[in-house]
Amino acid sequence: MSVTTLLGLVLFILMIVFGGKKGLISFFTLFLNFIILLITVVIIMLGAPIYLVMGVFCITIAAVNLFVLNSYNTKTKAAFISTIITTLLLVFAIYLAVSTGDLQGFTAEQQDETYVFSMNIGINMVQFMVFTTVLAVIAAVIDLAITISSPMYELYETKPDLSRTQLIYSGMRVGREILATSANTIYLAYFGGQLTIFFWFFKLNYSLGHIINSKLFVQEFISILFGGIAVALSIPITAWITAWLIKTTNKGNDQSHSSYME
Amino acid sequence: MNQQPFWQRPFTWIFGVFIIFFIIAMIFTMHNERFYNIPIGQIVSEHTSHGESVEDDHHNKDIKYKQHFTIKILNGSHRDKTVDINHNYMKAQVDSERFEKGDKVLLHTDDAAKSVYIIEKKRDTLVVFMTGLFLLTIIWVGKRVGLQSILSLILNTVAIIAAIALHSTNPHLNLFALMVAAVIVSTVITLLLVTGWTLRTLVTITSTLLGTFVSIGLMQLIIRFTNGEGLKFETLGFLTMPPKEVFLASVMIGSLGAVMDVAITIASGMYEILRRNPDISATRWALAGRNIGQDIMGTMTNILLFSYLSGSLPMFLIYLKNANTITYSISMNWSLEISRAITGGIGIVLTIPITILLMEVWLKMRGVKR
Repeated sequence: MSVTTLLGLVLFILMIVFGGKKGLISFFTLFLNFIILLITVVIIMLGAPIYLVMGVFCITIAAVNLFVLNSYNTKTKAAFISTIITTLLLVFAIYLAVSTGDLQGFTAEQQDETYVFSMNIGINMVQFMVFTTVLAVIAAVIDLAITISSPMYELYETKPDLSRTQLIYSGMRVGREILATSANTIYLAYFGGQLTIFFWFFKLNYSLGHIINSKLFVQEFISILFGGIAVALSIPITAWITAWLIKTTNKGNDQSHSSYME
Repeated sequence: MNQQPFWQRPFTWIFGVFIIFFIIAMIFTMHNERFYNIPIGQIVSEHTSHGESVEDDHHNKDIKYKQHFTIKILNGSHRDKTVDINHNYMKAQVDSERFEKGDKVLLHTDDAAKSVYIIEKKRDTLVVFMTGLFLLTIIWVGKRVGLQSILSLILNTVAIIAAIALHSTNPHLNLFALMVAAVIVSTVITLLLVTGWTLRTLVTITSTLLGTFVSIGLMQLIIRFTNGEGLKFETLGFLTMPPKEVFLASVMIGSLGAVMDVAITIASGMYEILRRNPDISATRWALAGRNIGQDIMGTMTNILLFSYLSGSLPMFLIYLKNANTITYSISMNWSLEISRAITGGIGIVLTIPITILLMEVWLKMRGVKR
């Protein structure tokens, strides 16, 4: 048996032992996410417009992880809208950074690995890098959005007379509590994933001036920064959207409720 | 809430100073050529020829463009000289870049400034701008917590880079042991910064380290048991040392953040429940912790999975476009990434019972004190 299969089996058993039914669902959602990503990359490979595919991918992933893993309600709806808005803002910013810095594709240092392949693949690498950078953070954005929107909704249910500003304020407070750990999670995941590159810098003997201008370094650095920006940006967006959604969807309920009381 | 008008709050002032600092730094990077040892040139005129269609053996179509630049050198012994160079790029820009008039580039020149070619685009302004945007967003959203987060990110980086630097200057030191030390240091620093110094912090530190190390140990055991079957260590990019050691170190660093996140979420969630309901039975309390854990284990593992896979996507695409089958491309590019993510997931799931158990111990100890 291969290492991956055995590890997968261990994870499966552990998730069921410590997570029960919810663990089973989590494991299969994980698998589903992987399959969706694989299909997305294959569709891009076949030449479909990348931004369109990316839009469908983000909506699908957000829907699966929010509506399927939880259920369709105000909390998940707010988290869904916030995720999409944060992602849209990010796409715009990532595109600007990648195109002004020419950060797409492979670096000169990677030629040892890539020279055996044909690199004239005809797929726009600027757009593809926007996609990979979004992919690295979208799961964290979804996680943050639901972590903020659900206590906000619960707070509203216990105190329905809270104003929109008060709701936003409480959402921001929840968000700030998890900002440090979320930023750390995404940062260390990225650092760990690209650790070999950092080993390399010590072997290359580049001057400082060369390092901070090299595509190799700037690519990694910018991706890490976008992880932090995404996490931070999703907090006020989620707090605002959730408060707005709670107030607009429950306005009718409140009134009918009060008229019923009369 | 703060009732002062916004211009009187100290935060606004700190923020303003930050913005001014970054604007000055950006203007500096636009005029800093004289501080570079590498020759830097600016493209003063540019001519791009009509594209020429090319097709490779796998029927991938791309368009090849030839560019001709006149570059004015801005620093060094060839200052103010102009040179003419030719440059090629492909429309997809997979491993080539398109330059435009006005771009500044790092050059390679010989003594006579005859054979000149472009090494890199000058990207320092972008680096400064993005660093500023990152710091300002985090501080604007997080205020004091934002500063703490940035401090912990910097200290984490220092700990890990220090381990790498120590290893590259003293290669006889065990890399994995150095990384273990870096992980312990950065866990302690981060948790002290984020949660402050209480007995509960000791619980989260212990459960984070236990969760991380046990999952890494498990992975090592499985690799030994299966002789690393299916793991393509040779595909680990930029290799300069024993791949298995590097791989295990990278798995450990990668899962650390997620495991820490889970430990904090469960410990503070359980503490909150205890505060609201001090008479809760030990079993009910543990069950509440288990519920919190169940809710987050899937999403946390997913964060790791997507983050790892995103880094290897360009190479995966190249494999697919070079007429390799999907299964072969997955096994060559994703065997390591998927194993990494699963090991992180194992760490995440194991941290749940470890944290619950330690919280129960903490409650007993607190009870004895009282």
